Amino acid sequence: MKLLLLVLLLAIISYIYFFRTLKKDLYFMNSIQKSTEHMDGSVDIEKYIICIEKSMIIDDFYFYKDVVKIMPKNIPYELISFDFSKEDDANFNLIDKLKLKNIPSIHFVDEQKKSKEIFNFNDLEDSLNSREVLKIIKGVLYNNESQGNLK
Amino acid sequence: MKLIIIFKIILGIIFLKSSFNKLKKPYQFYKAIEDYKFIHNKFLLYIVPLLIVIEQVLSLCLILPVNPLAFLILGIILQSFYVFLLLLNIGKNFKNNCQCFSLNAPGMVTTKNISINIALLISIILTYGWLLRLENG
Repeated sequence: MKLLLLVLLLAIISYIYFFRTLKKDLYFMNSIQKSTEHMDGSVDIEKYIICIEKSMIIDDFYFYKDVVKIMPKNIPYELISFDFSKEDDANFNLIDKLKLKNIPSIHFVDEQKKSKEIFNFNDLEDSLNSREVLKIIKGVLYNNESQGNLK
Repeated sequence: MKLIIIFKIILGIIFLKSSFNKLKKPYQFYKAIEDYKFIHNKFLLYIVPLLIVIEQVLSLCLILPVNPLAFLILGIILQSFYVFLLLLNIGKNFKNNCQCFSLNAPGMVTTKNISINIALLISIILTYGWLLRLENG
């Protein structure tokens, strides 16, 4: 009986944990902008843009969540997903505007709204695990900051 | 007696492995269940964690020596739900599925998936019956 009560207690704690985790995941998913609905802020500020493909989000969801966690806190970022299953001019307009060559990638947009690719996920070796990739991204972001791209 | 306990523990390990997958990827499991369009989106946030927890508790009840009635009730609830869910979606292919939950929420629902789930349901009922018979001498 004691064992059953212990299992039940564990179940309650587990349920609360999963409910909260899922709620946070859904909130994160809703924060991803669609390329077709991308709103360009009127204020000219430096920012990072993480471009991803919609079809890859489900498989790599927790990886992108980790990428967002390591983004610098002092600079805003946008996460944009591109859906290439439908032909939409808005997709190509945004690709032109941001001068995107690779997806998924991380771009840095300066105050003059000039975009520069700082990290291309396709350049990574397949043998790297997510922890190693995150370490590389951290280094790239740090270099971007120290090279004086940022004010 | 030993044989039935080993069988019960093996069953528990199968459910534990399946629940570990969901534990690591709750969002992907949410999307897979959402794709089946069986539960209204409003309730999904409450039901998906419940499904994961029921599976976890079921595996613990099978592995640990708790009251057999607990794993019987949980097993019937969980497996009946999945069998019914898969029967409704047989032959369909789901694109929002990460293909990581082949036991309960596969991307392509086949008769093989349903058979495995029915076999698990029958195994749970048989294990309970077997244990009851042994206890009653």
